[in-house]
Amino acid sequence: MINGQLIKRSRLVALGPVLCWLSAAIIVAVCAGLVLYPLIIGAKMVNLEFLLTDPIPSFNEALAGGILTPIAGTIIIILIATFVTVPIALGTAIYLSEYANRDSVITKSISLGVDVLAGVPSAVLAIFGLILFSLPQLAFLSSKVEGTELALGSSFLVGGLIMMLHIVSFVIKAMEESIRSVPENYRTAAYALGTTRWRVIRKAVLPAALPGVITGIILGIGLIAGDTAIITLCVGGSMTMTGAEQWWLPWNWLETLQGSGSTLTTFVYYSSPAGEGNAPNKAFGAAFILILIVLFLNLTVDYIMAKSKKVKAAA
Amino acid sequence: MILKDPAKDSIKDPFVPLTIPGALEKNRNGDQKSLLGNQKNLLKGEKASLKNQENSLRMEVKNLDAWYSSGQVLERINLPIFENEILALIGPSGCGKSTFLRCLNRLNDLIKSFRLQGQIKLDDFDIYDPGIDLAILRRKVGMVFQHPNPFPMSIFDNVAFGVREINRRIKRTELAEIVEESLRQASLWDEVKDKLNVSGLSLSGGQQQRLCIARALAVRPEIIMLDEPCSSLDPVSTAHIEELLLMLRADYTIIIVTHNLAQARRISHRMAFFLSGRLIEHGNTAEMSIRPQCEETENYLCGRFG
Repeated sequence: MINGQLIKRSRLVALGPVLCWLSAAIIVAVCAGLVLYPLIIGAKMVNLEFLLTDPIPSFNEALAGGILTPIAGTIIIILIATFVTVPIALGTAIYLSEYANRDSVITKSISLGVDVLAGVPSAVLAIFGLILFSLPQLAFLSSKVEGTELALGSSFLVGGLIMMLHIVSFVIKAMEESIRSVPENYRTAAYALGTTRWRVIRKAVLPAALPGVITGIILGIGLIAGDTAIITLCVGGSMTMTGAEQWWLPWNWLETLQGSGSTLTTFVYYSSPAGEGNAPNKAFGAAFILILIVLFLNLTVDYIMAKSKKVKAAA
Repeated sequence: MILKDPAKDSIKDPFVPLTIPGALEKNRNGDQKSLLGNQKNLLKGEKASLKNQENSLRMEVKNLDAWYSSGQVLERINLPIFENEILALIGPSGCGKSTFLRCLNRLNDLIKSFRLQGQIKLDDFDIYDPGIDLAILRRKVGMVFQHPNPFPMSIFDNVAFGVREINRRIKRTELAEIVEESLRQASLWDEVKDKLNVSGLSLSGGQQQRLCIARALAVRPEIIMLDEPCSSLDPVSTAHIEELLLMLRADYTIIIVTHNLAQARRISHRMAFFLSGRLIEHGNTAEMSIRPQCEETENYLCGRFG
């Protein structure tokens, strides 16, 4: 009897594992295709000239220029949005994790606000931003529209500020998580050395949470680099910089920031047949650069996480 | 349930002679300044003035009761702590030794549900007085924890942490001197002098614990409390730390919580036996080991429970 039970009843492989394997294989194949296709086509496009010339709106792909200003635009938006997001997100995260009483009404409403903000689609944020910054009182952030009462409401500055709304909840959560996960014994040790509460947070908790905090910021930057709706509506519908012509000169920077332009994502959109351009290969070239940037950011995150895990393992 | 009169201790105990009233007075005045805000005093000089008053009363716990949300954890504790002694707190797990220890530097204040009644005096100050500067109190009463907990930063920065909090604009050379001296006191200097910039977490468990001792010593405490400092260490590291404590005794008052009775006998001058939140008995280590006054103490010391 026992012998009989020990022998496998059937040599048929169960269906479940195969389906699981197949699902995973589909995902991998799609990912590989998504990354490889633009990479292969886009890589052919990329050369120094492509990277260093301004885009020229044209229906002839050969004359359509390069992606210098979209690259600059992406960097500008990342810098502005990160610059305003980091202090606000860090402050909120520290408040929520270290000071707030979890059960108080204020804390709950802050958390609710953060959750709601995380769920708002970026197009909604963009249209909100466009309306808000069209107010004439806020014209200093973009430019005045001739002949009307309103401001234009779209510029790099406006785009950067709205981008902050897009990523801030995400960054807050990542930072809060990493601050909460700092072992309690670091705090106790710092208190026992005669450190005040704020200095404990600043000198013992934040340094220990730093890898997580930086990871949150980098993932936020990835979100910024990838968003299109906010750029289209709040930065404007121009491939080139509409501010000063020599936008790279320091004394023209303010004008550039108040003006419109494009980033890599909107360049892809405008250059594609779906947009107003007809330069799909250039779009792939820009997509290639965009993917490189995002991959680089993700690898950096992986590196930081691996390093901090090593430190934690040593502890 | 205190069967021994704490006042008698100082007479019975050969290690603790009678307190000299005049000396204590001087001591009190000296401390008044530093406990209430004169931080510079803590870094230098102050120690020297206390040297000649060895074995006087440093801390005194009177009628201490304490509660967590779960209920009362300490009941009617009365215990004197003397200058330059090693006092071992012994007793089975959960008897309140660690809670008691954390009352002495008010670390329990971090726990919201914690409540305390009674008096703890450091020299002439009630440390639960609202006017007490917690930061300065905790610098005077340093603490080393059960599990080594260096910060995730370099060895140098670990030791310098508390010093930088006292004086943020301290000169690098001065800081380096304090760090070296503290590491030497913790007998770790020779092992780490070539890798001060390496993360403190890269050290072995025993080295990490000595690093934590050095970190506590760097702020020049007067009393050092250790909460089962050897419980996660191997015998060699433990021997290292015991040796170190015997050396430090000359300059500091040491209070050590230990599960290890043999360790208490090896290094302590006095023992205090806790059981279910009460202080059953305290006194000279040798005397208490041979002739415990209480049955519970005897049962515990003989290993009949715990």
